[in-house]
Amino acid sequence: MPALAELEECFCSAKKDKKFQQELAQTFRTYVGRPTPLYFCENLSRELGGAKIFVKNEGLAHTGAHKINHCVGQALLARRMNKQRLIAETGAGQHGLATATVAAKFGFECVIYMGALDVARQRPNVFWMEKLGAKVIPVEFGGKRLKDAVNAALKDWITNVRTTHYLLGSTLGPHPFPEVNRYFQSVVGHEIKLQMQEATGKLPDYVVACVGGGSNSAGAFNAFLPHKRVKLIGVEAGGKGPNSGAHAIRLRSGRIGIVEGYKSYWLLDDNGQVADTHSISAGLDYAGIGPLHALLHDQGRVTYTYALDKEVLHAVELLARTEGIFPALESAHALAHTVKLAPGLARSKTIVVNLSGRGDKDIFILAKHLADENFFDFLREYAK
Amino acid sequence: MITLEDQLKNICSRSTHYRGSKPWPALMTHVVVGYPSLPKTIEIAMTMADAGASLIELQIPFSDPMADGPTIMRANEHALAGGTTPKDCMRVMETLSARVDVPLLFMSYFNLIHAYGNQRGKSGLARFLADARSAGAQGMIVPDIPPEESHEGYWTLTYKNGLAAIPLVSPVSSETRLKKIAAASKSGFVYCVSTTGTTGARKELPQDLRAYLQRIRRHFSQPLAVGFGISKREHIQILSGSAEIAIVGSAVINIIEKSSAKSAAANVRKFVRQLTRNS
Ligand SMILES: Cc1ncc(COP(=O)(O)O)c(C=O)c1O
Repeated sequence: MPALAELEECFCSAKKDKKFQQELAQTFRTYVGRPTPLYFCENLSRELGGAKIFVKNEGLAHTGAHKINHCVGQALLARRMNKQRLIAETGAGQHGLATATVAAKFGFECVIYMGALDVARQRPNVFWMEKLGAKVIPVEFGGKRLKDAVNAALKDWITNVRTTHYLLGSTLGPHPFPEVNRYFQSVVGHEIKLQMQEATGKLPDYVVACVGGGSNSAGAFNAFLPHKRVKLIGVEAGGKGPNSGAHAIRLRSGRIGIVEGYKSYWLLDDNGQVADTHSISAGLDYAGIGPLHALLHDQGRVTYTYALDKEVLHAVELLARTEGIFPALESAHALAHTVKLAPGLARSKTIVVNLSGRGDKDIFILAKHLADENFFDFLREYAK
Repeated sequence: MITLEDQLKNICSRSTHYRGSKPWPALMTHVVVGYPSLPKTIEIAMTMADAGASLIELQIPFSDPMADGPTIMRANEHALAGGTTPKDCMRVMETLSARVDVPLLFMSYFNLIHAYGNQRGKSGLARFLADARSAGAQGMIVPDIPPEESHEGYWTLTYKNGLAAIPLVSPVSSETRLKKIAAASKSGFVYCVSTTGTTGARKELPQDLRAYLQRIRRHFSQPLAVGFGISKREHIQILSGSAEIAIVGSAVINIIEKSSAKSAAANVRKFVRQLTRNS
């Protein structure tokens, strides 16, 4: 597709352009709120009784998740290519929200595709996207989730390619998207490195991140890839368990497929049809995984594991109770694995959990799963 | 069964026949295998051939048909819900190729071909092509395979198996890309996507269609086939003189959707006749 060549050319020239870099750095600092804090979870570490746990709090970035990093970067690229319109897919709504935000800031028209099922479960983000001036289109075909939203956005893009930039929301899709998003997200890992040096005088022993399409994990891992002593762990959505048929564990159960313009591990049935997935978190509920993670998995540089829905809910409650931080359900997967990992490690060891987002958007899901009757009473009362 | 090359020769010589008045393009129709059912697919394809279609493409249903608009997506979902597998499609190809004279082609997204035969870890491409060939297919239309990336030797393997690998081009294909595609594709025809976007019946064809087709013509010696959006006789009229083949997909499915199970074939026959008759 010529648009991919155009994007690649623009990306390569922008990387070398001092002015572009200055504007990116300036926007990261004054608009996104970078660097985001690295916080030592003293209470949580004590309670788990093992390694020291730090969280990299991307939840404190503007719009509440790491997605804003590649959105700012790609919006600047779109402006450089003279596009007037931004479109995006979204699962949890965080990427859609961040896209609608940069569209408002930089003056683009904006359309967001979101699976009808995700529209229903991430309603607060739909509200905010619309208030930012974006048009949110529920996708009614397929499984009505992230994969179908990617599909719908790609269709819009091939139709309106001359005026439109597809602001793809993770390290997936055709080249050069995975590379573009890894690049703009890598600021996270660079900051972790500096902040850990400052806090502990050394590199962390572990970096743990959740993996949907793979953008927050790619960002957190990238700076550490050459440092073989730093163990990197990616956590996928275990849903209701690896044998339940209701999960998004692609690296253990997936097969090589070529779908949506990229080759990677996909959850497929015996005939090559894309399989259904499930996760309590919309952002990890996706059948494919970024090709760079497929590579890191095959090379053995990153270890991939999974966390179950119920472990994730427990992790959310735990971090809230011990540290006063609500993680997004997606990010809580990384935390849930850390809960298992930390107690077995010495106190001298350090773990950095990439907290890719904050949990505000999950209020309705949490209320439902934690059966908060008072909250439902409030809603019923309010709706009157 | 006529070979694809002979049929294309017929089509082209028929074009020169009409010197003076403009030649009427031949018709390639399309079915989604398993829509509305396997036996119905066979009945409808036979009806198409009988009513004057010169070529027929059989689409293997896929969960994520990226190049397709809502109509063909619905047909894909319907066929999959009915349990249609790529093996079923091979059987339908085998049955049809024994019953109709016109050349048949497979249309499939690459993932199904890659996964064919469920040989975990190993690409199913070679086995797919061999099976397709022995089932009587004569060509392959794979919309998500960029020729310059020649996945697993797709182009060479397809030709080696005696099948035509049909290249797809669009109005946004650059000159460099067209050169590459022209170099990779050796036989069959060129599938010219009429407009940027997905399949689906449209009211109007794009204004600059003729100039676009002239641009494509400069790169290829094969006949040109135009698809995406063609839904009525007037559209085919517009193509006459610029392309040898008109491709109609969604418009037929729209007709089947609106027909009762009993009347579907008869309605398809009427529609195909309208599109093929040279008046
Ligand atoms: C907070 C948060 N974390 C993680 C993800 C998963 O995406 P990725 O793997 O690209 O970081 C999402 C996606 O919506 C998200 O909103």
